[in-house]
Amino acid sequence: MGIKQSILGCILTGLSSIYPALSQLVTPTAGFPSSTLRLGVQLSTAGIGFQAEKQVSAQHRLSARLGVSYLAYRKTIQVAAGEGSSLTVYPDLVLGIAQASLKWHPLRQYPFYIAAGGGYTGRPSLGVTLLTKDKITFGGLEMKAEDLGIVNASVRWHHVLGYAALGVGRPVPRRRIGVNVELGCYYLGTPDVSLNYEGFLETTTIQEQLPKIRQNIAGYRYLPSLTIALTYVIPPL
Amino acid sequence: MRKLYTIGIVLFGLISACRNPIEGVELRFITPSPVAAEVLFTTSSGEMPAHVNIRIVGPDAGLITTTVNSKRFRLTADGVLYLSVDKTAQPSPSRPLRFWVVAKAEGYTTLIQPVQLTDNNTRSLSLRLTTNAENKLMAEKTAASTASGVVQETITVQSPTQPNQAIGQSAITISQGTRLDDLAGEPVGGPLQVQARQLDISTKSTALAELPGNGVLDHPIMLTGQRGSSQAIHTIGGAVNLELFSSNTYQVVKTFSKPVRLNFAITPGLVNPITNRPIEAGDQIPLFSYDAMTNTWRQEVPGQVQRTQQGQLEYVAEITHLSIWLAAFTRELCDAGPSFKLVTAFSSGAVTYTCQVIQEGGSNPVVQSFNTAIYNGKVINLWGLERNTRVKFRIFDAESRAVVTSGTYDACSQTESILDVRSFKPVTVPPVTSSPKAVTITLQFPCKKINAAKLPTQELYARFRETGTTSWKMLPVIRYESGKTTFSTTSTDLTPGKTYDLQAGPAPGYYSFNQPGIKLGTYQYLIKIKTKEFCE
Repeated sequence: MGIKQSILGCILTGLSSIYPALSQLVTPTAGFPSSTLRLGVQLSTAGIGFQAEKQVSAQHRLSARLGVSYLAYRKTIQVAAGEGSSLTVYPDLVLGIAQASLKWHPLRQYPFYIAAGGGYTGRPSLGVTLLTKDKITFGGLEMKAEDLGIVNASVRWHHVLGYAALGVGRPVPRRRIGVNVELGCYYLGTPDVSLNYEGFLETTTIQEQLPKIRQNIAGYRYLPSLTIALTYVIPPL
Repeated sequence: MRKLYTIGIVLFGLISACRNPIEGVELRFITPSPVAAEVLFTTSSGEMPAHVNIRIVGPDAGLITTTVNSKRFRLTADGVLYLSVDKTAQPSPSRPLRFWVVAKAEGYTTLIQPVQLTDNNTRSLSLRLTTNAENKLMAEKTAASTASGVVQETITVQSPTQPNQAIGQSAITISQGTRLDDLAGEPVGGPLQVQARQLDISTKSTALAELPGNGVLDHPIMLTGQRGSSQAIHTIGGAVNLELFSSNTYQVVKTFSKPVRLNFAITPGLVNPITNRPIEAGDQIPLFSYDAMTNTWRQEVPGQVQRTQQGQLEYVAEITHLSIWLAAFTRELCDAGPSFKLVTAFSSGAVTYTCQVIQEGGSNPVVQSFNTAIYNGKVINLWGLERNTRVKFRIFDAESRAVVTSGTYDACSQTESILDVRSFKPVTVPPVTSSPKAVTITLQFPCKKINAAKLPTQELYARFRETGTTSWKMLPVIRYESGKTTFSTTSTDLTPGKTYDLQAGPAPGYYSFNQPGIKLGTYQYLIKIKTKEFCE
């Protein structure tokens, strides 16, 4: 399956389920002038953020959009490891994206649009650190915390991202406050895995298996996102 | 919000046709490399520091690995460092592997130990980590050289002054412009650390305890370049262990482009055994250096005793490399001496007898003492005795107070004499005890048949200690035998009724699996493995 087909398939699958309801909320009527600047806050699976949008061609129903989003997750997780033992997992996910895109409303009568653009993220990685604070017990044997050691795994993508989406929202808002709903996909590039460890894994063939793990995660190139944006029209001066 | 995430994650999976990241990954234990060197670190307190940073440096450091082929060198909890040689290397006398083990710990003096491997046998070393407070005789100084290894300011390091002058004092002076090279002839540049550890020479026994060889310089390389006879240390003028290394890379300085001045303060009243009078200005004291890497003593150009402006005597020599330096009068030892053929009624040697070698006219007449079994016709060879001395050999009966003493012989005469010990009482041979019964240690898998191809390893390295003690003892390798559902080994060192701690792992030094406080009830030590992962 090609990249474009994948993205399109992903977007259509999600959008088809929510479009009927949304289309009833937004009715095409005359609104503000086409040069109006719209500022918005967005809530997305890729984080919370802000966006600014302005129509660049009324004739072609084309708008330009700039935005930023931020997502962080670093909550410590305790995972049961049997016989009263537990592993401590420290996830490290920080996703900050600066994004620029173009929106095109192909149908004059409907608020359906297609968006495409690119983004930049300074820290395109997902990391996880695993250790135990006490010994692990299994089958009458024990593994001390220092013997298990520390495992730090991270998956790293490219800094520059591609983005494509389908959405619902009027090109020129009828009211001062508007809503856009968008289902999209980021293209992150082929990920790379790095593994740092000390302790038990040192005695294993994990290094020899890294190419296999890299091959397995090679498909983890896309990050889907569902975004709801609340926009506010800045009146022209 | 949680639902949105769920949708996102599900879609993510759909579009990328994601595989499980560990699909097809087979994790096994690394086949361990043979142990090339086993280094035991000790401390005076018996407790190892919380963290000891280990580095391997030197010309062949790149070929030294852990037993699991990594470069993450570390000590076991009880202070043992296992080193292996890269599979591409084959140490030999003509192509030895040379490197230094550097051990650094908070509050302890940095330890740098040279190691040379010349064959595939395991080399065992015991190194003592000393706290900074313990090293009262250690002088440390920081210095610097240029990138090309040239000293820009004269470096002088003097051992701390001691209330007891007899302990000795030493100093070295590396003059400005001296180039410092490592063993491979590469310059040692950048920040440097100099260590001069004065050896306590207040008594001969304290000095000999610190010097390699227990008072004997084993066949030193003489000034002629040839191996000479072994030498017994007689009177010590001074001894110091010198180290100079890069503070950043631990590259160790071995040679200097210019001679370095070495001074020993002469202990007042020290007697010159050649002249039998107190040492005075103008006297020469033989000088020796010890190369810990090759375990070799070398005779060096001797220094001379001078009188300082303050009227004290000092020994001054020029040295061209760093190692242990010893200024001492020695006595030459014979490689072979007299031998004694025993005449006795005993045909087998089940009991050992105490033997002594007595030096005629010596201040400490018993120069050698050892135990040996005797039987009719046994020949006892004496060796390592001081040249130009005369000795007697005597042997004590194990069952009575009888003592048989030989005649007097030149210590280096290679003559064989008869020694009649028929007066000794027949020995009461202790009853032959049957060999101890071995305990079988078994790892039992819950299968009817094991899929051997799935096993992460086919041998485990294990050790044990009696619970409450600190000394670990290795068990024979626990091996999987084809067709069985167990790994097992046997040991006669375990005793039923005692409680043990057991550790096991895939390689020497990596004992990840612990079973503490197991009371051994029978001669079967069974560990039941619960996972069926390896069953067919």
